[in-house]
Amino acid sequence: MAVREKGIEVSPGNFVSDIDLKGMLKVSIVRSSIPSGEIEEIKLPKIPAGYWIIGRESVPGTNFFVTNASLIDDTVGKDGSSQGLSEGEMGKESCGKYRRLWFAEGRVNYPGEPILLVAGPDLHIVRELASSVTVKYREDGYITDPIEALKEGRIIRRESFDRGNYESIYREAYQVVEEEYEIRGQEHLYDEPQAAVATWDGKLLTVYTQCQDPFLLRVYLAALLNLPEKRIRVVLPSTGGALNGKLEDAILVAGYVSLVSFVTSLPAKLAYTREEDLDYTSKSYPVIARYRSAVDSNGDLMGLSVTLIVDSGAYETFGYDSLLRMRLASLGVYRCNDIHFEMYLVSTNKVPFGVMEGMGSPQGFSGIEIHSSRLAEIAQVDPFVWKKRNLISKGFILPSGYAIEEYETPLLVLERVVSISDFQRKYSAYEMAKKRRSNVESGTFPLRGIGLSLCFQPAGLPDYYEKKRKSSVILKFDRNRNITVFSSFFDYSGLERLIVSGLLEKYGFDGSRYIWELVDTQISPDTGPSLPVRRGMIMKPLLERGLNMLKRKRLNSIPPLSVKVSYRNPSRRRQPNKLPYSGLVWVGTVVEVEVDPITFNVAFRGIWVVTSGKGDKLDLDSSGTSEVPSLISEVEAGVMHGLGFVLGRRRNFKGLHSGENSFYVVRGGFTVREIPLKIDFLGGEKNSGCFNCTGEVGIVGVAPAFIAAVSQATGVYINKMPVAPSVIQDYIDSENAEAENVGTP
Amino acid sequence: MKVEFLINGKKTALNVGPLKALVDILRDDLAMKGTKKGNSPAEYGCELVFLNGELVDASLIPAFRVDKGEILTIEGIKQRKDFPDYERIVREVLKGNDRLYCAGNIVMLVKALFMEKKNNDIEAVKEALSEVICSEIGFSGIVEGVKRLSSLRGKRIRG
Repeated sequence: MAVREKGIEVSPGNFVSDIDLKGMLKVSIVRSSIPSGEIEEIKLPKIPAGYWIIGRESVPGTNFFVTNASLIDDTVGKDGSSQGLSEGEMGKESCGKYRRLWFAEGRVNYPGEPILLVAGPDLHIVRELASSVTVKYREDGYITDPIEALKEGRIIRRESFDRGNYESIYREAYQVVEEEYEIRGQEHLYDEPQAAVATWDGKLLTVYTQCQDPFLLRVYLAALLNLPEKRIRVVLPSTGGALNGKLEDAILVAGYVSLVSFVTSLPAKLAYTREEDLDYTSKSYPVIARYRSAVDSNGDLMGLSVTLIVDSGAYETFGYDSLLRMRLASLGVYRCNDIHFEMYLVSTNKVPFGVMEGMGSPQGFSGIEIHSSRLAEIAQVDPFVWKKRNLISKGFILPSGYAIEEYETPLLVLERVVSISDFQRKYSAYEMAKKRRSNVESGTFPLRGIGLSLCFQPAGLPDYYEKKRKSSVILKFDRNRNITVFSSFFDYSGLERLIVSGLLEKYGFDGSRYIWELVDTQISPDTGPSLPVRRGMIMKPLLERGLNMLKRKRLNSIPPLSVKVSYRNPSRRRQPNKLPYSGLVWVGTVVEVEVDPITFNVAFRGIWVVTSGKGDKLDLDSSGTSEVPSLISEVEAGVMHGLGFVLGRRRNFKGLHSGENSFYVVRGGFTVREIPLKIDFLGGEKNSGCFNCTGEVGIVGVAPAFIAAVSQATGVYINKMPVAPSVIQDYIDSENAEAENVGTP
Repeated sequence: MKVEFLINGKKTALNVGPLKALVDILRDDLAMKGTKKGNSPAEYGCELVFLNGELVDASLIPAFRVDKGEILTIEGIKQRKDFPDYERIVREVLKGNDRLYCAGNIVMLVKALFMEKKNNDIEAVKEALSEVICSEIGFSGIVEGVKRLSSLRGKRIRG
């Protein structure tokens, strides 16, 4: 599959940051050094021959960048406007005001906002020149707190709905439980920082990128450069990890090199350093989730009010699907007819936030699942009993307003994970130990705890988006009996290894004789964004249908044969309140921990994960063993969502904040050791969808179960995620301080 | 300064600044892109090479330290006929996927691990591999792979 063209070897193992071309310009970005203010003056240093300064004035097309709407609205970008949203989604407040720009126009809204580009043959000189550009600002006030942003009315989008009689239910309630949860943004920490290379020969612009959606990138480049799309070729060599962090930022990087190449007619490359990548790329959305629950005398749920305040950073970004998932997840899976829901996407003066692994579901479920553990504690029953008693059942719809088809599945998943982890016995024992000690230091027993969560992950992107995008795959069967797959879905290790070889055998082809053709918009059909959540419901059926067609064609015709298959909306029973996704995969997670009473380090005694997948061969790795590598690495990612701190590096913007006021955390592998992990599948014909195919389900439930376990082990109620040892220490200190103050006049 | 060294068995001489990092020499001056540069220097140990038989982080080695030295990079390991383990490491630890960004790094670490004559303790293996961040295979997957590899080579890992 290695392709050699004009001295570039574009092959797996050769990454964008490895590409070097003769005469190539290196690019550096001049960024704002303040969070908010007007640009008064820009002083440029003396530019040596062969070096370039490129800014807003050089843009031949539009300076507007992306919005949430752009994911589903393909008119965006062409005229710089976004034209509404489909099918009752989040209403726009003042979307235009928060549209991202390629270059700052007159003012900057976050520290690190791109102002100019410097390009030249020597990277060191380029960086020196970039640091010598002096920008004079008239600074104004900035906001970093999303609650303050909400008070100031900096709302990008707002959604709210009421169902039932939620106001009066609080008057009838036996008890009202109010909690606030803070879920911080997290860094993707993909292996290869953002990079792109572009060449312009006067007719065709070729961009080597890591972007997870090459066809969408083409739309944005066409708008930026005022070029027809057919004159832009996007090629994806290997990507050094994406974790859904190479959508918007990858478009940004590719846009800058394309512009430099377009203006100078020379090849150009922009590769972020790790520091740049950490400081100036999007992280997962931080969320403040407020829950107000009405419970009856048994502790069962009567009414639920949820307010989500989602920090978007300075501008609106690509997180449309994440916000939808967050809404579905944050209302949970418990029976409740009286609902009040509010969601605000607010703008602060931070680097824009966006999507990450799990696509918003981890943030949504973290709030409701930690809250449900709290409700179980108040009801004085174990979380399994509470969840089972309150779980959605036939005749009810999800609190988010959608109906599901498989009512038995969540209960079966919950029962299975509780049974294999011996949850109830352990929970009672740890609860007893917790009651016998007056504080963390006084106990003679180890500080152990166990937590339970029940979540789901919607498969694919919303149906109307998939319908609009019409993803396609081309399969060719040649005389040498090789199958070649043409698709813009870039997922070598996921699809190719886990699905394609298994599917080929299923349809009578040689499992080892396939070629996954390099993604190139000139030869690959548009298969939509490469997101793991699209593997199962979009890519797998496309490949299956294609192989089935090839199999039938093979009976009557002689190779070479070729078929093209396009996305079809899954035929399902029409029902009211239909979920906007093709399906759900359920996951039950139990986490058992032991906390060190001196260092507050958390050790995992066990993690049990049960998914509603079939667990058939296509779920497993190509060797057909019971090992599920993707699930293991996803659970590890989930652990890191819960722990977050593991590198001990809390990032903050230079000169803006420090210490505890950091905005996001960098996860990493330093303290992640082998996790005693047990994975089980529900199996059975009824349970459609397979784990690996759906993607990113393992990550969703770990963090809330982990926090419930740490809360039980330490006896302090934790409502912040991720939980670093210092966070546990802070909680215990504040509890001790409160205890000391009791009785003080 | 002029530095001379043996790289993957080939004698090489270069004129570079004395403080230029080895990883930059490899990537910029010798066009050897197998040693990746992307993480902060030495933070995750992603720029590993053997210098005089010792595993080092190439981002922390200045040019003057490689003078008269012997360097082995991932390109050299792939080519060496007396090191058939490359294929085996890829198959067992990377599950056949040597296209990952961290692949070279994992191969270097595993090779260094097996260069130890004594039997390895599982905790030592975990410690050695704890700096590997691989979102595709995961930490547990890598440790499992090393265990499998160890059993194939007849070495037993305790634990």
